[in-house]
Amino acid sequence: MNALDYTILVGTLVGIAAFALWQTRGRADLSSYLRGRGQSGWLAIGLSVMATQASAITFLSTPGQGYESGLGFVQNYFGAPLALIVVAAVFVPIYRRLKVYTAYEYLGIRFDRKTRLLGAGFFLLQRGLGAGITIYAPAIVLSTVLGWRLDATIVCSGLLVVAYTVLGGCDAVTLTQKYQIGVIFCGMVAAFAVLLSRLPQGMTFSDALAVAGGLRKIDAVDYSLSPDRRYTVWSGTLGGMFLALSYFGTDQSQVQRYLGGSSLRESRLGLMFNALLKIPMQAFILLLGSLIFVFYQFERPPVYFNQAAWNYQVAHGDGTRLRALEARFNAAHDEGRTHVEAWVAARHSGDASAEAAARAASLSALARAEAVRGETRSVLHRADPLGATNDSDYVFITFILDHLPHGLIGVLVTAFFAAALSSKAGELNALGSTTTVDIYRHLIRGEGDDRSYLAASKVFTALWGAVAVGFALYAHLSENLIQAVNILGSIFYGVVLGLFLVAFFLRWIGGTAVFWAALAAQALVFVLYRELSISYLWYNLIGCAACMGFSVLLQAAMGPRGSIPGGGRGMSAPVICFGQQPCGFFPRRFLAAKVFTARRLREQLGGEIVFFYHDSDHDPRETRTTLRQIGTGEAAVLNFTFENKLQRKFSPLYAKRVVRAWHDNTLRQLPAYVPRCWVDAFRAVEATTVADFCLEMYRKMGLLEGIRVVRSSDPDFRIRACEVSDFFVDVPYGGELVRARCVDGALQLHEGGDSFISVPATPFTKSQVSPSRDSRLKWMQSVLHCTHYVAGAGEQAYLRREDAPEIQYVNRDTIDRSDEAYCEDPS
Amino acid sequence: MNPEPEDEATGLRGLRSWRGVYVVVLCVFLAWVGLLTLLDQAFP
Repeated sequence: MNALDYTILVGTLVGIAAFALWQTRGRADLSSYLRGRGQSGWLAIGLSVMATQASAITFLSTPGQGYESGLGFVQNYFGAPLALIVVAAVFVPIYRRLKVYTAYEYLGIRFDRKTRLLGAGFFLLQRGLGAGITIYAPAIVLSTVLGWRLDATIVCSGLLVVAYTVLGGCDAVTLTQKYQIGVIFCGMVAAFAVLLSRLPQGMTFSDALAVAGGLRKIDAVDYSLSPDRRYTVWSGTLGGMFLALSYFGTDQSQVQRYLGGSSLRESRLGLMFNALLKIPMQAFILLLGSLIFVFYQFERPPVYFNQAAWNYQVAHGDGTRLRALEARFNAAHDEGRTHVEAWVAARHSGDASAEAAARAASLSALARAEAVRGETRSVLHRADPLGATNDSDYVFITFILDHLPHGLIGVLVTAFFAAALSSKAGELNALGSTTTVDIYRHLIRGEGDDRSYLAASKVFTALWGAVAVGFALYAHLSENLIQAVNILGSIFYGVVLGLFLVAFFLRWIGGTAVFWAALAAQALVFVLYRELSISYLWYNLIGCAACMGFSVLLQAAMGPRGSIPGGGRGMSAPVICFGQQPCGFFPRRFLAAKVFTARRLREQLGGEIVFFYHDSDHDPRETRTTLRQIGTGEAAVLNFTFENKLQRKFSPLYAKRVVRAWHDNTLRQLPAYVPRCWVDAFRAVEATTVADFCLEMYRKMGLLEGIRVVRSSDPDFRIRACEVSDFFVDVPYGGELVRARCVDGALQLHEGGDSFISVPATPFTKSQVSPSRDSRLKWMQSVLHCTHYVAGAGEQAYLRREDAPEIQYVNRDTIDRSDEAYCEDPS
Repeated sequence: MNPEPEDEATGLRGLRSWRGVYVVVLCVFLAWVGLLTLLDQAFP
C-alpha cells in the first residue's frame, strides 16, 4: 500500500463516521438512540440490513471459498428469500404494532419475564461471541498487508467503530452503513472488472467458466440427499431458511435495522430488497473467487497464501523443507498451466478429444499441486498450531495486493474495513440496546428516566465493544471464519426461533412451558452437535422443531392455560388491563390510545381486556373535555357543572350528579365542535352521575366493545381487594357523599394548599374504601390479576411496579394532543 | 392516532398487494436456483 491507498483508507472511513455523527448530532433521546427517528426509507433499511449481515468475513473469506470449492456455498443462502418473506409478512407487523425496542420485549409481552430474559440471554451470548469473530477478520487483512501487530489492528479498528456507535446511536449506524456498503460494492465490482481484464489474451469469459467448471470450481448446486454434505440445495433451503428466519426475524442486530423504517411499507420493502439481492450477491462474490482460481492457473500463486506465516516459518522453522515443497508445487503448477493453455486452445479449435485429454491432464496436475499445498499446510500447522490454518482466507487479499493497481488496493482494503465496521456497528448497537432494555431497565433499574437509560445504553455499547475486542484478541480461531460464525449461530438460532414461532402461532402455550422447552431443546442441540457430523444448518431446524415440540408436550402435561386458577405466570390466559378515571364526556385521546393498544395486544396474545374504571376519584379536573371548533380549530375546555361546592370538590365521580340544565346547554354547543353522530349520542345519554355519563358516552362511541369494565366504586370489588395503608373513605358529610382521606385514623378533606376540613369520625367498612394514587396498582391487581398493563410514559413513571412485579407493562401508542378529546368522525 | 394499517399499499406499480410482491420474490428465487443449475450443467 502506498500513500494514495492510505489516504483512501483513512479518509473514507473517518470521513463517513464523521459525516454520520454530524448528521445525527443533537439526537439525545432514548427512542431515537435505540430505534432511530423512524424516518428511514426502504433503500436505507435494505442497505443497512445488508451491511449488518455482510461483514468483512463475507468479502474477505467468501472469494477464498469460491477459490477452494466453487460456488456451492451459495446454497447456504437459498433459504434467505423464503425467510425474508415470512419475516416481512408475519414478524415485522407484530413488532411495529407493539412498538417494541427489541425483539425480546415481545417475548416478555407474549409470555413472561423469564422467557424474555432467556431470549435476550441467548442473543447476548451468541452475538457477543460473534462480534469478536467479526472484528478479527479485518485484523487479519491489515496485519498481513501492513505488517501491523494483530492486537494493535484489532484495537484500532475496534476503537473507531465503538466511538461512532456509542456517540451516534442507531441513526448513525444506519447512515454509515449506507455509505459503507456503497464503498464495498464499488470495490468488489472494480476488482471483478480488473480480474477479467487480467485473464490471458484471447480467453473469453466463457473459457474462464469452462476452466473453472472443468476443475470443479463451479459446482453451484448439489441435489444430493446425503445429510453429511455441508451444502446442498435441501440443507441450504430448509436449514438455511430456519437460520435466516431466526437471524432476520429474531436477532436484534437485524430487527433494530428494520424497526427504524418510517412505515411498515418501508420496512417490508427493505427486506424484499435483500430477498432479491442476497443470492446473486453471494454468487457474484463466490464467482469472483472461482475466477481468481482461473487467473492463478496462468499466473503462479504462492504455495501458501498467508505469506506472513510462510515467511516466518521459512526464516525461523523448517525452511529447507518448505522451500522443497514450494519447488514441487511450482513444478506441478507449471505443468498444469501448460495443460490448461492446451485445453483452452483445443476448445477454441473445437477439438473435443484434445479438450478432454487436456482437461484430464489439468485435473491430474491440479491434484498434485493441491496435495503439495495440503502437505505445506500440515507442516505450517505443526510448526504453529495456534496460527490460522485455513489458507483460503488469504486468497483474495493476496490477489488484490499482488495484481491490482494502487488506488484500487486502497478502495478494496477500505471496503473490507467498511464491511467490518458496518456489521460490527449493527451488532454493538443491538447488544447495547438489548442489555439496556431487556436487562438493565427491565431487571435492574426500572425507575430511571430516559436520560439515565440513554447514558446506560452508551456505557453498555462501549462495554460490549470492549468484550468483542477482548474476545478477538484471545480467541483461537482455527476454522474457516465464515463457517465458524454460522456454526455458532446455528447452535443457538434454532431454539430462539422456536421461542418466537410458538409465540406467534401456538397461542395456547404459555411462558412456563416454552421456557423449559427451550432449555431442553438447547441441551439437545448441544448433545447432537457433539455426537453427529451432519451439516450445521440442520441444527437450526432441529433446535426450532425441538423447542416447538417440547413446548406442546409440556403444555399438554401441565394442562391447558387458564385451567389452573392462580397457576402462576404462563398458566393463565392473558388479562390485558388499562386503568383510567372518567376523563371527559368525550374521552381524552390518551384513553382511546390505550384502548387501541390493548386491542392490538389481544390480537396477538388472546385473552381478555379489562378497563379498570377508577370512578372513585373525586377530582373534577379529570372530566375536563377539550374540544376544537370545527372550521377555526379554536380550543374550548368544557366540563360538567355541579350543584354545590361539596359535590364539585369532594364527591367521588360516581356520586357527582349531572345537572339537567348542563346537559341541555352543552348539547346546544356541541354541533360547533363534534360530528353530528356524536351530538346524537350525547343527546341520548340519560345517566345521572358524572362517572355513569362518561362511561355511557364511551360505550356509545364503540370504544368499549368487547372490553370488560371493572369499576373501583363497585362495593364487591372493594371488599375483595387487599387492604392498603394509604386510602380514602367515602362517607356522608354535609348532605353529600364525600371522599375523605384517612390520615392516622382521622378523615380529612383537602381544600387546597395547607387547608384541610376535618370530617367527623365515623365507622366504615371496606366497601367504602378506595386507594390513593400510590396504592392503586396493588389494590387493583389484588382483584384483577392482570398479566399486561397498558399505560403511557407519565403513568408508568408513578406506578409502583414493585407492588405488582408479575405484570408486563406495555407502552400505549404515542399520540399528539393527548389531553384533547377523542371525537373523530367514525366514517 | 390511527393504528398503522397492516395492509398498507405497496406503492409499487403493477404490484398492489403484498401477496403479489412475495410471489414475485419467490419466482426470482426459483429463477436464481434454475440459473445456477444451468450454470453447473453448462460448465460441468
